[in-house]
Amino acid sequence: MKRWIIVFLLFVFFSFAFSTTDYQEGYSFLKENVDVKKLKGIPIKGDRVELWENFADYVVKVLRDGGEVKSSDIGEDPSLFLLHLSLDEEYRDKARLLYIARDEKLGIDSGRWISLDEFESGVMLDIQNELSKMPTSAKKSIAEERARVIAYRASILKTTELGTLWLIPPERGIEWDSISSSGDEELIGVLAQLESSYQDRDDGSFKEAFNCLFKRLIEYSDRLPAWRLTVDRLNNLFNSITVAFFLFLIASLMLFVYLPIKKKWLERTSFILAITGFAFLTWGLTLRSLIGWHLPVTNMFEYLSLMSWAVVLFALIFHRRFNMPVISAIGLPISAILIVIGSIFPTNITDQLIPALKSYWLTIHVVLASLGEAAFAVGFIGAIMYLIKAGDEERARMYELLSYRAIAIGYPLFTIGALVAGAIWAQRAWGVWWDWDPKETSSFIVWLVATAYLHARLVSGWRGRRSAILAILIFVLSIFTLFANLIFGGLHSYEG
Amino acid sequence: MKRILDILSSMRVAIILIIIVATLSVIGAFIPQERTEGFYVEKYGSSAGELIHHLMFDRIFKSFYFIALILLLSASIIVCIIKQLPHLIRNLQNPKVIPDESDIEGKRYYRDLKNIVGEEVVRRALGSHGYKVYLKSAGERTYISARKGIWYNIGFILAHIGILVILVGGTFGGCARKSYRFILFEGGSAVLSSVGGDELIIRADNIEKMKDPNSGAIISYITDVTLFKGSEEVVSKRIEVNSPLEYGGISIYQDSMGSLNGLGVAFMRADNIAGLKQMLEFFVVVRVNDVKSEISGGLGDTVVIGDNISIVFDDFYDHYRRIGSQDRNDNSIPNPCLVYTIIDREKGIFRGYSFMYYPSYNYGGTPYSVWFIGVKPKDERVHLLASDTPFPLADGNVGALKMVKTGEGEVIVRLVIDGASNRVFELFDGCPVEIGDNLYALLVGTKRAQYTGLRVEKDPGLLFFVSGAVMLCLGILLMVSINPRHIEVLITSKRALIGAMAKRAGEEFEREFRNVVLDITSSGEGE
Repeated sequence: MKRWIIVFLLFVFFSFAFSTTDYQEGYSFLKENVDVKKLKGIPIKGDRVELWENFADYVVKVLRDGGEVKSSDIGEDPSLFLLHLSLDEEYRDKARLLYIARDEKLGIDSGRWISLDEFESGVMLDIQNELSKMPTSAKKSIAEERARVIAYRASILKTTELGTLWLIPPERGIEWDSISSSGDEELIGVLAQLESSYQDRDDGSFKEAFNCLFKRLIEYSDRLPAWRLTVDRLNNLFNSITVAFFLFLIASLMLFVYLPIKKKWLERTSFILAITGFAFLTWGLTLRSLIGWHLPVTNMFEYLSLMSWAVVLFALIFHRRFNMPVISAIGLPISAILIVIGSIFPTNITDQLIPALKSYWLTIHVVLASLGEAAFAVGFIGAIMYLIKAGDEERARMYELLSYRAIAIGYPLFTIGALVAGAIWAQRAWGVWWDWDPKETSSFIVWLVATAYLHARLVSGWRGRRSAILAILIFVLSIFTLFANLIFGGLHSYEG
Repeated sequence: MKRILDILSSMRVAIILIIIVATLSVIGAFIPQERTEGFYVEKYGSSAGELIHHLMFDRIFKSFYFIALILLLSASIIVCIIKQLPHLIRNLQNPKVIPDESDIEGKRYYRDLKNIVGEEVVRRALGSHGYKVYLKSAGERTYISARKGIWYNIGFILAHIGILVILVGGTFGGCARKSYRFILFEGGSAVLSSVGGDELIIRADNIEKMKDPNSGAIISYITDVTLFKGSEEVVSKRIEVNSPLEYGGISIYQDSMGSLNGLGVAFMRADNIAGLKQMLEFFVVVRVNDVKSEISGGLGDTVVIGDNISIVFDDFYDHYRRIGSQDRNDNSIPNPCLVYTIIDREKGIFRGYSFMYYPSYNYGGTPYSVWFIGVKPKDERVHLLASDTPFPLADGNVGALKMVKTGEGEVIVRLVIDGASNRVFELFDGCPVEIGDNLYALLVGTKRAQYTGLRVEKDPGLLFFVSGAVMLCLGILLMVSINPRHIEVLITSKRALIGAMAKRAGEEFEREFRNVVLDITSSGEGE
């Protein structure tokens, strides 16, 4: 009982310590929307390219001559002609062409190049259309409506892949002065910052102002039910996943101190800290699930956070069950690293998933796969410890047994989750249950190695060094599988 | 034979096979699969590209050696199952041999009860703990073998058969699977010739993007389709992502959606070209006294275009050529031409020629401008078709349009009937082409419209996968949830020995063993 009171007090303490009402934090799910990137070469290849090759030649010729491609040159339907148009990098700046990525929200069905003219006239019309569908409560004043337009434009920054601010032309017909006449001091300040950062090409300041602005705007939106907005505010009160990260690191550090000196209070405290961190992580993931109204299984950040959660869960269980604090000592930093890697990816929460992701098979697939991989992580720790403790026969045997038990738990989870549920989901969503996609292939390899490990241990009685090496290989390959789609692309490419 | 079976059942061989399969899979993941030969040459250079092609690394998962490896792995699993079966059967029967005392003593959990205990007491004690008891007696020695969790062994076999079925199904499915994508505009039909012969026809009745009413974000892509077998309607369904149409082993998925320029084609039946001309409606823009107007009419129709001025469409040539003073159809060069007469009650009668492909060229010297802008059938429906989608023709054949780029860089439209090389027709805007007995096709320009991209799959391996996956999951669940236990009791004339072992020996099993021993000894017969 005393332990749970300490956990509760720690939770309350960290809640206050990390709480902030600063708008600069912004809404987590929009933080990344102005992730300004440099222009990347995006070669567009496909069988339809050649049909428009003549036109591409024409565009290149005009640009070589120092001219500018206009909508009028293209014809009535620029998007058709510019679809799949590939230009050499050196012409892109001159062309004043934007790459608009596939954006369902804006009704853009496929990634394509568009001229700035089209962007101004066509896409902005689309945006205005979208805006007209916004709930009226979102349009408290002209200023806010205008600011929303700007915010939307800014949100396109990410999807354009261009990102350099000079490519976003000033809003036509909008006077900055008229915006700031709303009398809302805070809004005026934010818009002023937005304008000046835009003029100065100050990406950081622009991002900051945009986050503030969007937070203001979203508060007027009734897109989310009131209770979900409340949950969202709770989520923004403090970043519980970051708190969990620090707690895991501190707990791990204490355990590493405990291991040589064996002071029991160190182990107890670290265990309590780890449990508290686990509670924070659970809290953060639960809030995300409530805001997005789906389990955290739809992007890399969510997957890595979930896996981090599962690693801590298994590490603590095995730590307690086998009375081996070293499992947590190594497991907690692994979990913390997964959180750090996850934070590299977009952390936005959305309740508007692409249709393919709206499947309970996906949830089963991802949850079980992450649990399986987390169990493999514990198996990996056991195997490492076995190799280190090779001299101490009894201790080494226990580590070896622990490693086997963890993999024996992870194997069915991984098989049913990553392979079977994944294949069923793929069949429903993509029409093919197995396509040798890089992520599928690497999962298959993990499964093969895990099968070989269990078979070798159960049937042929493999023990010791050989099976420990296989156990390590299983986890290393699992980590490779995690990022296979990022390295090789494939059907899982939307994760990220 | 025994040697082969020993090799196949060897763990070393299985591990080697797994490593090779894994290595080849990694190569398959690194190298994009099933692209054209030119792709590899371009990406990896000519020698590496050719090497990839020769080593079949460009289609590694369909290569003979990969399939052979999977078959070897399958054979290895089969041998394992066969080897496991006698063990399973033995476990379900009374023991045939009575083991030595040393065998019992060697068990992980072992007790020497010193006293002699009755066979019935042991049976009862084991039975009360859920053990299935088997017995063999010989002379003064009685051997009792009690087992619990036999479903573990069944789970083991099920899991292996499941893996086997998935491997075989996957390999078979990978080779026999048919899959392709096609595009349909609303109301359009496609023949699923690659998977269902020429009999299965799908029609897109409705195409829709479902949007969130609040945010406007697209939440689903929907196509209402009807499937026909011949002319008989067999099934209608609303398909969307994650909800395909399944019929007779064929699955049809929502693959993409967007807007695209479709090719407008009309199919008409006429006894001859003269009859066909009567079925056409011609569209022209006429300028009279600087006033432009668009009018249309059939051959012989008189259309008023101004005060006391009217136009009559006299004749139509799809491949017009003037030879001497003769107007002729020369089939070598498409050149749609409308011959007309303008009747001006004040100025007189003027005969002129207007050419669809040459709008600035007005032949005939009339004082008025006439631009021939298009031709369509009067009554027949114009079908909006996408390139490469096989569609049903009125005469029961299957046609497909192909957009081909000529050496001059011009894009032309070809109609291929029944995939036959000698039944290919080039379609030009405004030029009807006889494509069958009294059947004509006419290209009438393009129109931008919303399309739905569908994907058809026929995967005979799917059934294998589903059954294999069920067996594998069930097998794994049995293996995970059940702990097989074996308690052996050897009663001799002097003492009784009890030994036990379990797959997952732990505190729980130790407790159970202690309780069994306690139950036996508490009967007063043991110690």
